[in-house]
Amino acid sequence: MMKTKKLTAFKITARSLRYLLMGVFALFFIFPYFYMLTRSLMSLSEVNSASFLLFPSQLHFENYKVVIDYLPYLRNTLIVVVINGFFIPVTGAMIAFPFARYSFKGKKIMFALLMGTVMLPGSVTTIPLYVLYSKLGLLDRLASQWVGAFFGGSAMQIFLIVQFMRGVPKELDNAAYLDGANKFVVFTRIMLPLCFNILVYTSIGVVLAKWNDFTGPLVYLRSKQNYTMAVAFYYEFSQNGVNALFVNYKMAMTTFMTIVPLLLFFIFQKTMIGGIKVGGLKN
Amino acid sequence: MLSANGDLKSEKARVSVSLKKWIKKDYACYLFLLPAFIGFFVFSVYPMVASLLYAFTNFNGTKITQIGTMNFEKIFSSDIIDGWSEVGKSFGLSILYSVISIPMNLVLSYILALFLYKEIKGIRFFRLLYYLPVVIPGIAMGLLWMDVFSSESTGIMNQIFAFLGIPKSNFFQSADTSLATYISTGLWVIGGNMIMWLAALNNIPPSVTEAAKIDGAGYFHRLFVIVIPLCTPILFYNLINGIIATLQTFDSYAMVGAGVDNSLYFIAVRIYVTGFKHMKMGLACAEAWLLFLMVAACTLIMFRFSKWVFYSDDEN
Repeated sequence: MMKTKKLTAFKITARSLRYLLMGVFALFFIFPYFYMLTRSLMSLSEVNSASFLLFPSQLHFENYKVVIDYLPYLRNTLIVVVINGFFIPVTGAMIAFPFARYSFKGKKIMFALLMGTVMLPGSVTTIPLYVLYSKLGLLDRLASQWVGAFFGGSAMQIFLIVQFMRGVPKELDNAAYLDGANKFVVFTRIMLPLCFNILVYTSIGVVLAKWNDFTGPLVYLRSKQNYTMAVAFYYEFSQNGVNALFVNYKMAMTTFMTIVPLLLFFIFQKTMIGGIKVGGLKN
Repeated sequence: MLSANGDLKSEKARVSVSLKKWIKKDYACYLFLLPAFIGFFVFSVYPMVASLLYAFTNFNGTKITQIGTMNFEKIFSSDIIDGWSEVGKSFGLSILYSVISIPMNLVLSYILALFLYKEIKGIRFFRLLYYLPVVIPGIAMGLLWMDVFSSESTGIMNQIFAFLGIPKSNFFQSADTSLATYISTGLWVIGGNMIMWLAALNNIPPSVTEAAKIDGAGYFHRLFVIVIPLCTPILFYNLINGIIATLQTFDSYAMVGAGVDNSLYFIAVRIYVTGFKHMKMGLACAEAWLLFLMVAACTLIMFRFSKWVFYSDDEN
C-alpha cells in the first residue's frame, strides 16, 4: 500500500517536472515568433530605445503598411512559386515512374548518376549556368527562376517519389494492363492519383524553398521590378540596406513572410509529417 | 563467301529485330525520363565540365585572355598567413562549422525527440511548437538574429546576458564570437531533425523494446543496444545531408557578408564573392571544384564506411 502511494507521488512529480521542462523549451522555441511580433508592433522610438522593451506601449499596426511596397515583389514570388510548385512534382513523378516500376536498359546507371547530382554543390554550377542563362537572354528575367521546373527538380525529391511509388501495390497496374491500358494511362490514371500525398509534400517543399530563396534571385535578377520578395527584403533590410534601421518595419516584413509558410504547414501538417516518414524510413 | 555474307545479313537482321524489340519495350520509359535526361545534361553535366574548364582560365564573365593553372597556384600558394592560404582558411572555416554544428544538431534533436516520444497529454502541441521556428524563412530569420544578437547593450540577448550576470558580448561584431553566435542560431531549428527522429522512433516495433524490458534491460541499456541502432539508417541519411549542406553554408552572407575580419567567410560565400563581386569567375570555378571534390570525397567515404548502419530485414 505504502509502496504504490510513494510510486504515484514519484510519478506525479516526474510528470510535472517533465511538463515544466517542456514549457521552458517551448519558451525557447517560440522566442523568434514572440520577438518578431512584439517588435513589429512597436514605434520606431520604442525599438531604438535605450532600455529594452518586451511589449509595445501601444499597438502600431500601421507598421504593416510596409507590406504594400512589397506587393509587386510578392507578385513575382507568386509566379515563381506557382510554376515551380506545380511542375517540379509533376515532372518529378514522370521521372520517378519508370525507376519505380520497370526494368529497362541502363536503369541502374541512370539512377546512380541522377542520385550522384546530390553531391554537386550549387557553387560549381552557378557560374556556367549564369553564362548559359545570359546567352539565352534569361538574365534579369523572372523566367530564370522557373525554367528549371520542367526538368524534374532535385535528386532528393525524385528519390522520395520513387520510394513512395514502390509502395503502391503492383496489382493495380497489372489489372489496368489486363484491361488494355498502356504505361501512359497507368501513369496518369493510377500512379498520379495514388501518389497525390507525396506530390503535395514535394510541392510544399518546393513552394517553401522558392518562397524563401534569395540566392537564385541574387545572382540572376538585376532590376528592381524583377525582384522576388525575399531578395528585395534582403536588399532593403540587411546591414547596408536603406531600411536597415527601421527594425519595426523589418519585423513586420519578417512576420508577413512567415505567414504563408506557417499557413501551409498548418494546413498540410499530416502530409508533411507523412512525407518525412517516407523520406526517412525506407532505403 | 556467300554463306558468310548470308550470316552477316541474318546477324544484322537479328540485331535490328532485337533493337526494335528493345525500343518497343523500353521507349515509353525513356520518354518518361526525357526531362531528366535534358535536366541532367543542361543543369549538371554541362555546368560541371564548363566549370572545370573555366577553372583553368582567367574568365571574367566576358572574355578569357589567359589559360593555365594560375588559379590553383593562387589558391594553394599566395597570401599564406599562419600556414593557411586565404582560400584554405575559408575551407577550414566551413569544415569547422560542419564538424561542430552537425553533431550538435543531431545529438540535441535526438535527445529532444526521446524527451517528446512518450505519448502524454498535450505532447502533440509541444512537438508542433518546437518545430515552428523551422518554418520561418531563412532570410527573415537571419535578419531577426542580427537584431536579437545585437552588439549593443540594448539588444535582447545582451539584456538576457546581463540578467544572468554574463558579461556583454559583441556576438556578430567580433571575430572571436561570430562563429559561435552563428552556430548557436542553429539551435532554434533542431525541430526539423526532431520530427525525423520521432518518425524513426515510432517505427521501432514496441514488441522489441517490450521483450528487452521483460528480460530486465534498463532504459539506457535498451537505448544504446536497441533504440539507437534501429535509428542508424536515419542517422546516416541525416549525416550525409548535413555534410553536403553545411559545407555549402551560405545563409550567413545575408546577415553579415564575410563577417567582421572575414570571421564568417565560408567557402561558398567566398566563391560567390570571387565570382560575382570581383568578377574573377575562373578563380571562383577553381574554388568551387575544390569544394565539389571535398563534398564528393566526404560522401563517398561515408558510404564506404557505412557498415555501422543497421538495416533490419524487412526494410531491405
